Amino acid sequence: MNTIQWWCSAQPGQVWTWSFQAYPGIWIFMLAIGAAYAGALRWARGRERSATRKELTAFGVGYLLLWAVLDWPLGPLAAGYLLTAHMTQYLLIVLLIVPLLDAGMPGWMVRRVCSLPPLGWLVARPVVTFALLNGMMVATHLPVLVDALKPLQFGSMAIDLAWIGSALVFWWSVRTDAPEAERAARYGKRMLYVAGIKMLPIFLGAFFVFAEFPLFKTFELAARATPLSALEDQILAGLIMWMGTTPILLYRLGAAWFSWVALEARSSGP
Amino acid sequence: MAQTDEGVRPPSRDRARAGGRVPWIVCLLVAGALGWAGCRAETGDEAAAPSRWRGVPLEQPEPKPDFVLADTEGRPFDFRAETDGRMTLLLFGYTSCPDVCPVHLAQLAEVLGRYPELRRQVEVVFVGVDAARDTPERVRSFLDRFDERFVGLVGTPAELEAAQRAAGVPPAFVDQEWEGGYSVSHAGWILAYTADGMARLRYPFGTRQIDWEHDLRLLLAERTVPGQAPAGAAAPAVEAGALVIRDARIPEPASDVAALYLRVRNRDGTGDRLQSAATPVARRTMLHRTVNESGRASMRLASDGIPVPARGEVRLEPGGYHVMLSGLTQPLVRGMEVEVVLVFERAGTLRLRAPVVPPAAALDSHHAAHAHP
Repeated sequence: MNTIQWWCSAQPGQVWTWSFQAYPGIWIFMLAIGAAYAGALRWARGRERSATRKELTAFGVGYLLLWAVLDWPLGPLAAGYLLTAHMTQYLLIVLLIVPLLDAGMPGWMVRRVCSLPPLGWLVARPVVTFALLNGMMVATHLPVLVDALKPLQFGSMAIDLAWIGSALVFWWSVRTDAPEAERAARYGKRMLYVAGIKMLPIFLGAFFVFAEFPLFKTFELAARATPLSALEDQILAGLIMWMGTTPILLYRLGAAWFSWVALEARSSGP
Repeated sequence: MAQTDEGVRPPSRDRARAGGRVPWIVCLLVAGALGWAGCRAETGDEAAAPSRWRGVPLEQPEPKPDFVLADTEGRPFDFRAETDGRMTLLLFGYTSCPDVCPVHLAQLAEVLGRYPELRRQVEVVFVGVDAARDTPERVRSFLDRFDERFVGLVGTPAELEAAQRAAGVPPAFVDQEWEGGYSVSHAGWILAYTADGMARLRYPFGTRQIDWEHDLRLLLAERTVPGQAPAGAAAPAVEAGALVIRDARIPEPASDVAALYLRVRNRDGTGDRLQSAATPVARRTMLHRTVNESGRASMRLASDGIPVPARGEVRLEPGGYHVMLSGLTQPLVRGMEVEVVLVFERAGTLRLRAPVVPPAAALDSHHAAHAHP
């Protein structure tokens, strides 16, 4: 890779090497996120608002993980060489990193962001954000779209941002946002939504696992970065999509369940 | 997920109503953009494969080339004889190739490995064109990464160039000083020879496994490509003494000027010369040669005729020698056959019928070849 790229995209005809490649656009994007978070905390300091240590830690971990999955080496591998890397990147962003970022954002910060009408409208409708997240998952795994967008830096960035954006509004929409009296019911709904995002990957993963041929031109025609053949890479990606979501979702469902139980215990207590 | 007492509250009803249209508009725009991109990708694929073949049809069917190189065991390998009667895929590449050759071979290895019935009937021959580095051991080791049954061939630079010319591909070019590195430009496509010894399709870099599987089954099932008459039927070889004329054809002209292309093979130890040509469909016929001077192509009258080397072949083809037909007396449309008379210095007069074929596909060797370090 000889030319500087600002965002990871597929490079047809380029052989994969483990030599470091800089992606300044990703650095700028990540620095902007960090600056926005720090700026929001500074703004809040004068208004007697703050973030807890737990929130700061969650955001910090999510932030570093996001940078790691977007930047070299996982970013370019996912953009044009390995479908398994693409799938890992997707699952980490949607099911781990964005929830961590969400957990790192205090309620006042989320409310502030969601004061923008489109976001507020979306976040108030979990059905829509659920559909949006699943729609983005399907769209960004359609071969025609992936093959059309991945070789373009803007296209590749659009896919990454679509994942981050749709995951953010989904996870915001299943935060506890109701008065105390309604909270128990919302825990139940939230668990249903969270469990629901497991359904589609099962079908999509099956397509990848049982396909007779590689589905994505981008990954099929890439110079092999690992000993895996194009079809083996696709099967592994399907299995990751299939099974990879399970531990994370079980953890999140479990956390929601225990929070619910704890809330019930507090409500029925003296 | 953060748990806060304040939580996230929905905006007021008015604000939600005011902003309610925006997300739908955004969703519609996103859906439209995704649909457009999808359609664009779909159209692109269709444009690349207008026929029912996924490979690229050759302008004219090409007979299997006649060359002898050494296999990876050091034995002479007569390409035509050794692959006679078998579906054969021929790739001129090099073992240090970082992308095109490994991807081509990996694609073939995967498809043939998945379908044993294809594997049994298809021979894959790889010719290492980088004579300095493509040793028999290295070629064998390279091919074994994909399929141990792939045939590897090596030769001297002169033998390799002759083999590539015989197959109708631009000879590879090794540039030792390419941007401080080492560059090999070579044809990036695979020629597919059917069991009848003719190549009618080539497969450029980017051919997908599903396309290979599709075409290989068809090619094995049919001996000729529909819509393209076999060379033997459309332009039968004509012999006169030691000369054999093959592949005569006239690309359908857009004006009243046309060109006749053919190949003349001389089996004799003495050279010959094409002195003139004539046809009833043109008022004037001239022997021309296209020459490239300082990057500009210009036509020159071959006033001394066109030499036919002893025990060799001359090709009248785009970018080289050709017979110019001007002042056409009738429209030449594809499917027609034109009577042509050729006069040779030694072999004498020779008559043949040349079919009018579709205009030449834009097969530019500079575009079709690729270079990399």
